[in-house]
Amino acid sequence: MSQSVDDRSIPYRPPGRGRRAFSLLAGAPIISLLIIGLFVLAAIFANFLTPYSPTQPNLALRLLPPFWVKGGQLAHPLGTDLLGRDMLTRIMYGARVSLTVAVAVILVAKTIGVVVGITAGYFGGWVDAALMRLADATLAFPGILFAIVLVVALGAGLWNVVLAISLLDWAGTSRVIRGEVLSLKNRDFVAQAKVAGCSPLRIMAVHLFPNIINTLIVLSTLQVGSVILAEASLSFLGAGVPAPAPAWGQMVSGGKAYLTTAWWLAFFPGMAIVLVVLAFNMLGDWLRDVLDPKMRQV
Amino acid sequence: MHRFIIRRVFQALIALFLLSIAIFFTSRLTGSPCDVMLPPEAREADFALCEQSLKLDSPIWMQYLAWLGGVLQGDFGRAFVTGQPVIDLIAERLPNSAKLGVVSVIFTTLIMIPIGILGAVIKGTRFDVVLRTVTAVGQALPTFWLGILLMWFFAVHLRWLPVSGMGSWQNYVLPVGAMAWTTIAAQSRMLRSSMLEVMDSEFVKLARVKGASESSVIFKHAFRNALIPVTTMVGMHFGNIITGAMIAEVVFAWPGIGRLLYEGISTRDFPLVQACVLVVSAITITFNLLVDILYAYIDPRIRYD
Repeated sequence: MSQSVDDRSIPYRPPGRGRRAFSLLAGAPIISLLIIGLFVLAAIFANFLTPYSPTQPNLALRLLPPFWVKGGQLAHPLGTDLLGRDMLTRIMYGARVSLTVAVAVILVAKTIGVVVGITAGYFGGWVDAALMRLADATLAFPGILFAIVLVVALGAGLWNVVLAISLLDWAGTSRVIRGEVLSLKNRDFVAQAKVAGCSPLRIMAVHLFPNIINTLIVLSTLQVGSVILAEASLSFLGAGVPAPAPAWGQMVSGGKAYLTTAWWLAFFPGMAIVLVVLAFNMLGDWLRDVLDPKMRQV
Repeated sequence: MHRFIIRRVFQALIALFLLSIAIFFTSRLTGSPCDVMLPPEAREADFALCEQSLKLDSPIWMQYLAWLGGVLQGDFGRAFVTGQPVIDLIAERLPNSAKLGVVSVIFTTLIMIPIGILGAVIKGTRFDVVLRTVTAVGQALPTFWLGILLMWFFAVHLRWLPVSGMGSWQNYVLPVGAMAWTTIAAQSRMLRSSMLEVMDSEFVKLARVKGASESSVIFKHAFRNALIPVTTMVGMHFGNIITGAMIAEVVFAWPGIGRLLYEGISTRDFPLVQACVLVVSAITITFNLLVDILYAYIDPRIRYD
């Protein structure tokens, strides 16, 4: 409590709120934010950050080791692959693939999840029962298998991977959002909105939706890591973004056969996956504690 | 209780039904089934005969029923590449996957429980920070990458263990290690937080007040009650053993159904992929159903309605 501040100018705040708002950034996992920032920049500006092409082979420079190993060059800091393509360049373009899939899946799956969750929670009755049975059935699918079938049937490609993961990812969100709405819809402000003559659509969009945004942010951040892991696994299994395009899972898979002679082929793309997933998981854990402490069990 | 079981069985049936529809329509997305069933040298007349025998001119729901009837009798068609009936390939590989999966669930559970308890007991100390960091990293490790690193270090570099394949107990070490790591990390974190929650409750405080020893508080009071969410986790893990083993099978060339599926993907052998996914998903859904019902008997406090 500072004495020099003119107390009359400060509106009343519940105790602790001010300090918490101040410490909002102080407690942030700086390293996570740095790692995420770095990968996002690499993904967006890959064209400008590297002079090399991620797909164009250069057989004269095949299998150069990283620069600190004998025979390596500073021009290719993480070495080159079987076709002489720069590893760092491919990892940067790989970040583009992984982060695009992650952002697109989160957008699609969360939109479906929120619409289904709010509708089921608000209307209740048979609407709720039908939508939740559908969500339960989706949750019962072994996720990655269904995604594999879909990608193999539709053909490998970025948007088919997004579609396959999104079709499975909405169900969990819709359950959580429905739970939130169930507890919100009996509160006074909803009753008042009804008395004031708001349509159900308006109540859901204007009165209920803003109250679930915190939950939504936490869920989305926590899920980025698992979406990236799912995309990488699909790509490792050969059901991801197809070959010449650089995707981390497929790079690890391609490097597997050269473990003894060229360890960097499989090592660095895997390291990129670990760093990004870890950073997003830690950011999500922190956001959950700050925004939505009651969700600790999720 | 009975209402719960009936509802849960009903739910599993819906899941199986949706799954069969999804698989059926994805198979139609790849084109007419005759294109894949007939050899490349087939003539126009063969196609006509094939389409007629499959009733492709009948309504789509009748085609679905005909397909479902075949599947229920174990008729999944023939694999592209080998020409063998898919069901034979699956029957040959499934036991190998089950072995790997069961060993991995047992190993994971045995390791996860002490780590989770330890994490709750040492909360707030320096070791807690170390343990939490290790488990956080563990959750971010992709199984396929960890598997490759383990293989490189223990099999190629140190030559302690076989690189791949199936044979002695030594073949289990690396795939199980690669699979277990992520699950141990995730489950021990959940056990830790559920232990901490129980240790904060009134009856644990009472146990302390009445002078119970620390080990009695931790094991008799806290752990027993923290076991409830753990049972769910282990149950769910058990339901997913075959799916979970898939990537480890691919990395370590384990002759299981996951490896079979991978071979199907790389040769674009759609009947094979379709059948593998259908069989494994059906097993997963059934296992999850059994675990849920068993769980309802184990924990009488929970009323499902």
